[in-house]
Amino acid sequence: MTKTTKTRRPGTGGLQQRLRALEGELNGIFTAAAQGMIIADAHGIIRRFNPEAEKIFGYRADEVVGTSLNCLMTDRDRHQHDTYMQRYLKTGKAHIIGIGREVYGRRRDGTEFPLYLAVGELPDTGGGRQFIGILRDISKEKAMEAALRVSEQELRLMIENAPIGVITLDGEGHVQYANAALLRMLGVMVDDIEGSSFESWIIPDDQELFRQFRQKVLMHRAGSAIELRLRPPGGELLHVGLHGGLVDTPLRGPMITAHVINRTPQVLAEQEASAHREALAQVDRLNTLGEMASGIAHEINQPLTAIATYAQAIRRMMEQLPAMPPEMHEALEQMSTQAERAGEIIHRMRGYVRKRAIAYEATDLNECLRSIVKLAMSNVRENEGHIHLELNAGLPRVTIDSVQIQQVVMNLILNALDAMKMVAPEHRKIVVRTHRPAPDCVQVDVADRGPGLSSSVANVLFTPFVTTKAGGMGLGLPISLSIITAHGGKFWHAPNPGGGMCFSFTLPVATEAADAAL
Amino acid sequence: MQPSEAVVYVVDDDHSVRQAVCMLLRSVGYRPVPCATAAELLDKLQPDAGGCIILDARMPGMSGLQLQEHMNQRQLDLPVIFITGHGDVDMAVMAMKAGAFDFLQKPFKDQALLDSLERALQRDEERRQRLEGRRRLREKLALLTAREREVLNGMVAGKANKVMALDLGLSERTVEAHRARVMEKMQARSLAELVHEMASFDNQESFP
Ligand SMILES: Nc1ncnc2c1ncn2[C@@H]1O[C@H](COP(=O)(O)OP(=O)(O)OP(=O)(O)O)[C@@H](O)[C@H]1O
Ligand SMILES: [Mg+2]
Repeated sequence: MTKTTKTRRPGTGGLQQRLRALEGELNGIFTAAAQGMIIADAHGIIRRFNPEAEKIFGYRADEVVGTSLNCLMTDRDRHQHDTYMQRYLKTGKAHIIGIGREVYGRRRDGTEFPLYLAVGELPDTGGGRQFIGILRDISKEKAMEAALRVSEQELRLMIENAPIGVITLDGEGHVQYANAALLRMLGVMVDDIEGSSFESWIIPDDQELFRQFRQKVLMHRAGSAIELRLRPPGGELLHVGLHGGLVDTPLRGPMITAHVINRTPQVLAEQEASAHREALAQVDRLNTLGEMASGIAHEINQPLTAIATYAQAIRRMMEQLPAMPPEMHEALEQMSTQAERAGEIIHRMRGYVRKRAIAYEATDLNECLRSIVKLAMSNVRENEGHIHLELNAGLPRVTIDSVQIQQVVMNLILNALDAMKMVAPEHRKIVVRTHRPAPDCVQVDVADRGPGLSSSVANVLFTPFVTTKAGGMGLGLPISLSIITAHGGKFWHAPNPGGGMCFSFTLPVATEAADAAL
Repeated sequence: MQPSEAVVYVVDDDHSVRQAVCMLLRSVGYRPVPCATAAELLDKLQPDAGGCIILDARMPGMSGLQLQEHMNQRQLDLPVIFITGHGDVDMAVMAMKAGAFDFLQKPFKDQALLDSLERALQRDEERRQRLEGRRRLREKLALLTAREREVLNGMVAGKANKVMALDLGLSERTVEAHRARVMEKMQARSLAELVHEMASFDNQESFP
């Protein structure tokens, strides 16, 4: 007994005290924990239920302590819980114990929610096996995750279906991703391009350009834009604008992401317009040269003719005199011969310049005018003018050299703009009109609201070198007249009713079309 | 026609050319009439007198070609020699189509102009003679009675008096008398001459 008493170690009361203190601490933790804590026995009867658990499930502790865990579980988990528990008790193999997993709980109001649950077994202190569940309501996280997933999906969908091409290249320039628009643009399938080197899609001439672009983006970490020509296998040449920047990805390192715009139609249209402009300029140069030569020929031929003829007249008159020194005869003869020679040179030069190819073709006149007006728009805007087209839709085709006719209309538009410099911008209106005054011809009018003809030129219009402009050559109208005459048309001008001038020309209509109209 | 009788109109807006050409023409004995514009020419032109027009194709106002067309319309038939700085084939073709007699490129050789002028005047002379002959024939025909015209037609057709007498219901003597009067009024020395005169105008003019 003594032994027993002896065996009662001194300070047993202190131990008790310490145990109580420990229990107090545990209680404190249990109460204050930000995690739900539930202690249950091996039969699933709840022993303890902390305030956080109360908050999570909506039960008060006194309502559930002593009842089964079942009320906290969804039907599916409830069944599993039983099986897990049986197995664990039998085999000691834990499915959830010590691991933690996401399960569903049920609140008092019957709503189900996701929770993160870790379960552990408490040391048996004599009251049978006990288990503790530590749990956290993760419905907020779950909702956020889901939202994130949705928005990521939306983003993907948006990029995938964006109306412009989107491409992602890895640091080596291999295609990591190409969206649907880009695949369509290239006319390929996703497998054709993903993983390939993007450079292999670029025509050789532009590859160096692309290398510089990559360098710039990767080294200087700067966004950059380039124009490239791509040649998909078996496809047409594509002109694209590529605008890209650097993205640092956690997994795959620095990547280039770029949007790609198909600029082929614009580039082709630009090329066509500039070819058109070039053709027109070429024709303009030749016409100007021709008309100049012709004008010079006329101007110089007159004095040459006078010189030659005077000399011939004198020679003939002197021949009738009694004594004509042979040298004088010779000199006069030479004067006329040399004048003729000069004339011959001018004619040859003129003939040379005149030899230009004229390409007559059946043409839609309105189309021809629309395209030249488009080309003239930059001049029109520069002069703050406006052009109105009044094109008669029912015109037959005409057989013309459309570039030459466009040159005529261009000359008339430029003249109209020059003339209207003197009037207020809001009145600077040009009307380009087509109609069919008779079955055998179509007519084009170019009317302006300028001040009309200056009296100094009114009678000599269409004569080369007649101009009132500081920078004018006075060749626009003579060239136009030559062109229209060569086409078998007429060219005239009249005051525009209401102010300004109206220049008009006709073009003949092929006879079958004219007959059909009769 | 002697050069001195012919009127040659020189139309050119360039004073010097006009003057030089006139001088050249005078040096060989023509009587040039200088005109500075087409309008001046139309003003000075004497349609009935013979002559020729030397015309610059390119002038302000009415151009040479327009003038030619204008003259065609008014049946002013003087031959026109175009002289122009524009030696284009198409211009020449247009001028010739419009009825030009010749087409010379400026500056021209004096001899070329004078040769062309001579031929033009000769043609004009022939034309005027033809006109004159036709006018005279018309005058003579106007003197014939209806009966005499019938006899004339028979003579030209080569019918014998006997046949004509039968056709016209006349006696052969009467036909003979008509025939003598026709020869007299037509101032014909022989039947052959009469037939020839009639034939040369036959296809150009219908008789009244
Ligand atoms: N629409 C117009 N209104 C008033 N005057 C005009 C008009 N068009 C032409 N003119 C007059 O006719 C002149 C000759 O025109 P033209 O086009 O032949 O030569 P330009 O315009 O002077 O020079 P360029 O050789 O550059 O065309 C002009 O200088 C101008 O005085
Ligand atoms: Mg002009």
